[in-house]
Amino acid sequence: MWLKKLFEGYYRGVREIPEPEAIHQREFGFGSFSKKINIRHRAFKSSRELLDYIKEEAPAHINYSTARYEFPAGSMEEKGWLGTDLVFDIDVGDLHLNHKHSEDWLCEICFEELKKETQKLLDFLMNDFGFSRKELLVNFSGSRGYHVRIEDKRVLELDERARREICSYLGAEASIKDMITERDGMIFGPKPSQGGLKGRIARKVIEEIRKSKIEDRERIAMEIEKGNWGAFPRGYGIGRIREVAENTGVRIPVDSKVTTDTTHMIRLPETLHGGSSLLARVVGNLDQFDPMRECFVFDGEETSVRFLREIPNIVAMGEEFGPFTADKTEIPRFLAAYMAAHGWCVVEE
Amino acid sequence: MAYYPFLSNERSRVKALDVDLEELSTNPMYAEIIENAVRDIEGREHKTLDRDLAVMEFVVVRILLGIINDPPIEKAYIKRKSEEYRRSLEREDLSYLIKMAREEFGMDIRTEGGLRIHFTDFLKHKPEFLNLAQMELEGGYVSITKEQLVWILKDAIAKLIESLIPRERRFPSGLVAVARRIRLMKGRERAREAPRVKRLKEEALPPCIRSIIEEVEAGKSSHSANFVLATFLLGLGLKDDDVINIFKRSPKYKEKTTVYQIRFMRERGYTCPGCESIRSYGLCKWECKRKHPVSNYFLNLRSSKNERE
Repeated sequence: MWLKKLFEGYYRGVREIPEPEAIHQREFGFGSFSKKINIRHRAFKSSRELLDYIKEEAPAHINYSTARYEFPAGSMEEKGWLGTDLVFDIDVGDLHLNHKHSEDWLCEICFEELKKETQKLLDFLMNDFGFSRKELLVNFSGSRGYHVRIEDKRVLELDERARREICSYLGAEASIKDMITERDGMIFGPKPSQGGLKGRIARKVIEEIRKSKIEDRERIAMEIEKGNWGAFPRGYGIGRIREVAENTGVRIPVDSKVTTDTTHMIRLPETLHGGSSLLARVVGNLDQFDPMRECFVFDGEETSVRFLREIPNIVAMGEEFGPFTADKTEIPRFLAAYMAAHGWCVVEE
Repeated sequence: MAYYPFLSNERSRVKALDVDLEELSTNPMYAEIIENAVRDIEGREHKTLDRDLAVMEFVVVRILLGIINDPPIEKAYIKRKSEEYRRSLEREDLSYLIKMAREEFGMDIRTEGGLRIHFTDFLKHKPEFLNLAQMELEGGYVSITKEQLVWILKDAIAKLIESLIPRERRFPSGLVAVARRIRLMKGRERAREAPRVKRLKEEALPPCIRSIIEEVEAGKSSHSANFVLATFLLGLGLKDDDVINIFKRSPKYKEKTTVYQIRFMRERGYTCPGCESIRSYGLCKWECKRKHPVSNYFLNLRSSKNERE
């Protein structure tokens, strides 16, 4: 198979793979082009041993456990759980973007929104949860999002319930009802100087008010700074004010299943994604990062393909391609691999 | 100041007292300690012993619980004792509580800019009624009140007591007989009190459980959903086989894993989470106005005038 050969060629040239902390305590799982994980419960003593296996097999998907185990190669009952990294997955599917293109397609705006949400997540993790940027290991998922991993010892022991709490926090599931209350005809609410979601919501509301065209907006913003939320114009009862607070968009749409599952398997950074052919590249500077430029690994040799569906314009490696009709054409190898991995074209060898 | 026998310096005093456990279990001189320990485990009124005897009593209680090896008895004891300690701790100075949190439980507590605790310690020990989303979290630390710290300590104490119960070791023969007596008594009590459902009436199921069963049947149930369903069914008093039969409806059913997990949950005495927890797992979107799915089931049975089995 054409893609399999490409993957084999790529891994042959790889000299090292960044290893997760305590690699000998991790379970590994590998997948084919038709199934994301079809081999599980594998363990390796070192990244060298793992790389030898990868070079030999060139799997389409390489996943490892966010958990550490005493016996990672044992069955689930035998493994002996030692702890799990704290992991977040931001996937385009959870952003609920109102785009006209099909769900499996990602346009430039999708990629930008993904970055914005990931930036927001990093901001929460640094300012609220106190992690340094260095402790936050960010990588492109290889397909439709970003992964953020924290290997800090203090988070390892957190159970599923604790991780769910973190997701609720990121999802801003604080009860606005308790936050904004009415007493003796006055409406009280959070102040921007407060920590946690309270402060975030207050700051966001003030920012929105200052940007709005509401009459007297500066005075309203200053009153909210003091915790007096009754300063909204007439017509804003407590219900409507709560609605304003609720709709601040403070929340971050992380995939809570990934974070709460303490036995989850996640893509190994710097390996290829069999469903896109892109590299799950480790991200240093997220602002500057462009997956459609930095995650292609194959060269640009012209490759004959036959499209199986219509493909809109696509910008890859800084060049615009398409649109393509369901027809035969020649495109660079990196784009052919991307299209073929998605199942949108077949390569005419 | 109240007495806290679980503190590490108190526990190390036991060694200094140099009492032979075999002798303690047979010498009539210590009968009062054993009697007090039994009453304490059974939840009956017991004497307040002086410091040396109390620390010995705490040893005896732990050994007895280790011999009895019965999760529900253990759980009930730990729940009652940690609540007793919580009430005592409420009367202590904040500085004493902070010292205990730091030194006994290794919690990361800060006092500059108000009382704050690292979010990982908060999450490990927080009571159900506190949610991280409602707390002030900044720079990794959650602002808390003295009262909230006491609740956090209560959980840490409960976990510490559980960890101090000896497992799989040789026990003093005198205490083995005492433990047998407690187990027998508690077993009878439980048999009288426990709900017994011979056959599940699906029409009486709370909506959350019904929905989880549908997820199981579709092969889409999450770990937490499976946990809630299994503990719910066990909580009704169904036999392991009947519980397993429900999970057999899943297209992803795995015999070995399911049997192991059901047995594990029963042996460990896991109980079904309450409605508030189930809601926090994202498994409840209904407004039953009930507190627990197990009692909800029996109330549904009663209100539909079905005969209780």
